[in-house]
Amino acid sequence: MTFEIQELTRLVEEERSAEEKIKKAEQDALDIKDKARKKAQEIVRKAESGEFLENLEKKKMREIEGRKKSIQAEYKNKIQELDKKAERELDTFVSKVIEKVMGVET
Amino acid sequence: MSLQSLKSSIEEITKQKASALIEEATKEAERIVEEAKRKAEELREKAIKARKDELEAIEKSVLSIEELQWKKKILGKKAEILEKIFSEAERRIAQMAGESAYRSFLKNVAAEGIMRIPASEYLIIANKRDGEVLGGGLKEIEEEVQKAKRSQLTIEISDDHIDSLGGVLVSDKNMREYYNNTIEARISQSKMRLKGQFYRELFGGE
Repeated sequence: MTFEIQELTRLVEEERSAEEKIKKAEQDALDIKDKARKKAQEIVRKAESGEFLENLEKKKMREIEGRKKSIQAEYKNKIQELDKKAERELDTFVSKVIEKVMGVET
Repeated sequence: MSLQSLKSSIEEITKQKASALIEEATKEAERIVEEAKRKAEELREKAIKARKDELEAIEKSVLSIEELQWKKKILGKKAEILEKIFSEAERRIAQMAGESAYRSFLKNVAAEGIMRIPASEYLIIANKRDGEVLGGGLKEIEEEVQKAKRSQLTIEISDDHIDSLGGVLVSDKNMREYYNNTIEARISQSKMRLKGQFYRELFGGE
């Protein structure tokens, strides 16, 4: 195989260019992995920070408030019932007391 | 091999090597991200479970406190209702002062007081209004009690008056023993006796 000097020079340049392309590919590969590591760190950081728990907490707090209101309504209703009953029965029970107080054992 | 084919060969090898490097890096990157996602999911699940447990405990505690406060209010309301019964009774009894039933009541509470104290001389203290009413019927009371006690006795209405809704305070002449038969004392006694019964009758097992 015989080459001219000029041709050999071009071949050497081609080799050099190939080396650079490989170096660039190596750098790109490192960048890809580096980017992936950063992305992974961010994923784990978010999971560790518990940011996603906020919605869960808000939802539960709304649920608790709802139940509190339902308890309040239930007991307010009970108090109203007691008031009505007291109004209905007041005279009967007052009469019982008067009978007892005015009744004398001699 | 010609120079052109050598060049082509170098280009081809370079291309393959570069693309292998990128392919390998991409696979490694995917593996890193997948591993992070898996770890994040684990952390998330763990955190959610822990927080859910905490929130359940908070819910239980908040609702228990709320319910307890309302139960307290219900108890307060029941006590208020019972109290109202007795205060209303007190008010109505006080209004009965001029009625004949009240005069009879006065005579009876005086007689009851005398019967409870072993003595032969008695002093009756009442408010001004009741003192005057009793003064008018003193002879009648004396006779009735003497008959019941089968012994002679004297009764005096005190010139001093007590600050009371009505009824009497009976004592022996020397004021060593006394029997409080005022309306307030009788209501207080009734309250002790009737409260439990009224509670059951009004509120049952609530």
